[in-house]
Amino acid sequence: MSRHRAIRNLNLEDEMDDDYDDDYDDYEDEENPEKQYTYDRNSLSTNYYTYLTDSGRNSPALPAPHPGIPSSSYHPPVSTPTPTAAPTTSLSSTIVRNMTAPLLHQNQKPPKNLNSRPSTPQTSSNLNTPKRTPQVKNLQAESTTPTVSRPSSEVDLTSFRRNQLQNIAKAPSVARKTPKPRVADKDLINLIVVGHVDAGKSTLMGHLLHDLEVVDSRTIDKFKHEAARNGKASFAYAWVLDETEEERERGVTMDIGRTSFETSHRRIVLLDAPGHKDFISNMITGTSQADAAILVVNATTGEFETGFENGGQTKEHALLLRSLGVTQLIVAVNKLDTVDWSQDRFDEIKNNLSVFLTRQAGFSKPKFVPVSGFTGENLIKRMELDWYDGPCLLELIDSFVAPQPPSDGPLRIGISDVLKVASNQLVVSGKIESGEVEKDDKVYIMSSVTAATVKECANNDGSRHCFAGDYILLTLQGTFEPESIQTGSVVVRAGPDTLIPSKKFEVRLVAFEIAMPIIKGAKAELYAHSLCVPCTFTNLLYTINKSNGEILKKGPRFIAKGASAVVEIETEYDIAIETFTSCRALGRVTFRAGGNTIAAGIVEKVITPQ
Amino acid sequence: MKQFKRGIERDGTGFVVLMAEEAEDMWHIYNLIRIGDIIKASTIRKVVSETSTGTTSSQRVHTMLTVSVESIDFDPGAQELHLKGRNIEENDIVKLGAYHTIDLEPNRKFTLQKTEWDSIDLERLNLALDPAQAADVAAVVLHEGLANVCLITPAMTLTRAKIDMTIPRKRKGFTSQHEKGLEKFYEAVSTAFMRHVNLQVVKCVIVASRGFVKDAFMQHLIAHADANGKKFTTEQRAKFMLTHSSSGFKHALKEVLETPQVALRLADTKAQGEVKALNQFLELMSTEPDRAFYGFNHVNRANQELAIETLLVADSLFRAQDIETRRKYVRLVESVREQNGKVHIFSSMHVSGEQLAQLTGCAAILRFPMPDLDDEPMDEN
Ligand SMILES: Nc1nc2c(ncn2[C@@H]2O[C@H](COP(=O)(O)OP(=O)(O)OP(=O)(O)O)[C@@H](O)[C@H]2O)c(=O)[nH]1
Ligand SMILES: [Mg+2]
Repeated sequence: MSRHRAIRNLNLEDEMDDDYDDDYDDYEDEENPEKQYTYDRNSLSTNYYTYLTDSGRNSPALPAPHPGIPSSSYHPPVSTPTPTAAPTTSLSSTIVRNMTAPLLHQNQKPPKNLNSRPSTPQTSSNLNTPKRTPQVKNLQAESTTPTVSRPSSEVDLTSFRRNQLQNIAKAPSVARKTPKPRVADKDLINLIVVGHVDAGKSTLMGHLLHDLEVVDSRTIDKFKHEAARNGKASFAYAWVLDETEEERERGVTMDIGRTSFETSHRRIVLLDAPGHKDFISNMITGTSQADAAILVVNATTGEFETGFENGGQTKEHALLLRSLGVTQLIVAVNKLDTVDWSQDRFDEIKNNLSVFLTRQAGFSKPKFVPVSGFTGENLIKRMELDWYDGPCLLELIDSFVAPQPPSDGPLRIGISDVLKVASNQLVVSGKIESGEVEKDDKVYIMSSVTAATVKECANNDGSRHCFAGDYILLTLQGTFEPESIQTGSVVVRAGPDTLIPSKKFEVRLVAFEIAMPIIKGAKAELYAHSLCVPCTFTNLLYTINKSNGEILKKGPRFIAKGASAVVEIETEYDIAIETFTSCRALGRVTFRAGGNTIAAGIVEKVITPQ
Repeated sequence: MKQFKRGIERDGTGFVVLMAEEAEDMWHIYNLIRIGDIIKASTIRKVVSETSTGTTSSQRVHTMLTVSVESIDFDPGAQELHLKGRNIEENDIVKLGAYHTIDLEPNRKFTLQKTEWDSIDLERLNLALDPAQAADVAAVVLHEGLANVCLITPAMTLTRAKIDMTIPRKRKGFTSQHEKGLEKFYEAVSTAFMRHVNLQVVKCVIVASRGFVKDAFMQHLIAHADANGKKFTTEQRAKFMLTHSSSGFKHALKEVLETPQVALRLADTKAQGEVKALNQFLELMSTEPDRAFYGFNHVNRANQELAIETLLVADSLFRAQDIETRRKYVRLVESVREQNGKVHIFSSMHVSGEQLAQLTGCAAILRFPMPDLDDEPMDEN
């Protein structure tokens, strides 16, 4: 209810039932490998992204902010359990617009039984209205600008909501059955492949999957045949990951392609990101789930330069990786077949990129590998080159180190895909950022504050007890509204370490190379885990000296490019993120405006309305 | 807007008799009326009468009322202005001093009387009466799953419909759900578009998105119109303009209005002039920050030094509840104009105006740098 959903797709149910069942089986066909965590402390580098992301995902549980920066006090998400009504009119107006009968009911019911029986349907009325007819809400008949009109009589839903949240936070946390640590023979790595558009990411990974026999020759032959018929013969391998009709027709990846394979020592969940500037939002969503990355660059004459210079995505992707906490990086210098496997070209690219990646982006040891995704050299077999006798791509992938996810922390599942919404059931997928979950768990969906019970959950390997790091398919039971869940929702448990949603946050950020400075009142899109929401920079608190962390200026008029600052932001509606110290994955934020990444940072404080 | 009579004295007191003709006019009226003004209009009053036997009956009676305004409530979507105040002229039905709410809407004549018509009021009044105003522009900004169907009038950007759907992502082996989701989304946007946009009336239609969404939507819209017996004529088709936007959020309209292609076509709309002025200010802030200031204190100090080249003010400041705040800004505007400075009064109903309002509502581009200003407090808040 926090989000204004003028229209929702409620008949999804019918369409998806069959697909969904087949799909579930996909997740069940493997053994239940157990898991073992290794851990590697990356050395701190001195560039300015360091203190935001410190040592990334492979570091110890507590963040070590930049030595010079006065470390912010620790703010657990429930440190202010006395929230009251939010004073903002925009929130109330959101609610006004959402005041469909069932929702109103739900909100006016006393919250007392929500904790004890979270799965109890809170509304009966909406069971009768599983399909709402007015699809598009006519805004003409309603107030469109909360700032202008003053809604006169309305129920104070906000304070109700605050109460409800308080009660959830007060609920005693139920002791968990000791989570049996999964002892796996192979570590799990979520691996994202990024790079400028047409660098050959999908082709490279498609070819690799074929060489590994994850994709059989028959399928590849079929793709070759069909692609050729569409005049896109060279994209046959890319079709392994570019699955939608539109992607194949246009020869571009538009959303993350997800698949998995195994190396000798690792299980890899592969995320093939789109390279086109227009789809960076999807790249960010994928990266927020990743532990390691392959940056693909195109070695063809002139092409590396296009991707690397202004307007190219190579730099932006690399900076995003780093600010989203990915520290392990392989650089695949691709398409070397087009330059006769020239050592000079490889070295030129390697030198240029190394400087940028280590000095500006702050990667400590990026590994470079010469490859051709199209002709297939150096993918799973070392190739014979007189100037390179290093490992092939697969060997490098095999040497990625698994993060140590905090599976004993509070439950946090970031929802990245909503597959089915029915009035009594939701099917979603997402990544467990911390904690563990299994069937019959009582959970809450934030920020809508919706109670639910886990009916089923399964990770990639079919395991039914899922831990931090797993990407899972989740079936929830309860009483749902269309706005109960969306990409960017977070599944949590009741208790003192629950997550209290808010729309105001204090964020420590670093501004990217921006043409216009960030000023008070500027609008941007905030990205955090799978979430994307419009936000406003409501207050510029102070700028920081990057080398020693001292406050430079209080109440600055603007934040210039490259500068570092602490700001206050307000999102359009309540969202589920928290401080970086409470949960790293939910505390990292990226700001974009006008199609460019303008800043990245971490949440320092959740400001709950007093 | 129609004006029937104007009786404003040299000292600023006086009245006008007006009638709004469209939504836009209601916005102007909203910006004209302040607490303490006197409104005379015909209205409906519920009259309860008691018979000799003690039973009561209520009746609705048309009457002409004159009230002194105590509260103002504007609903731009519904084009209604609700004014509440006390009756100040004795009348058979309503007692002196009794409360009454007058609802103003298009095509209803009324008299507005003020003790002080200041320069900003007169400017607003003349603007409202100017018939040579540009026609409306429709805009659809969208990304996968989110669309805003907007109408851009000279003074307002109105969101006519917002479509927000979750589209399942593409997944290994199940791309059909994603594709079905998209189809449904385009259908919903097309339906909303046909309902809210009158192609006979609007000057042009901007369809903006990232990637291929705009093209896919356009295809769908044309097919949708066709299927519903509303096939676009060649002339109507020529009104469409496809352009890039980084998202489907409403604030993306700002970048849409900035694109040269759109700018060219909308050359003289107020929305565009505002976007331009704000951008100029923002650019200056990164290149020469000592010439770009915001917040009343800084701007006012700059004005005292006769330094203001362009002043940007949000019209919301003139609607301030307390008269002093309004006067303060009126004086600022008048003073800048006296010094031949340019003044842009931003409509808070446009995206750029929303941003200016956040930026204290008051900003200035200076003729020369004033680095010392930076050390002074920016604003009380
Ligand atoms: N000669 C040669 N061509 C390649 C190689 N790798 C990819 N290509 C070609 O480059 C084009 C783009 O390949 P894709 O795999 O779609 O590139 P991408 O990086 O996935 O592109 P996006 O996902 O849209 O950013 C296709 O025509 C490929 O055949 C290579 O190693 N050598
Ligand atoms: Mg691709």
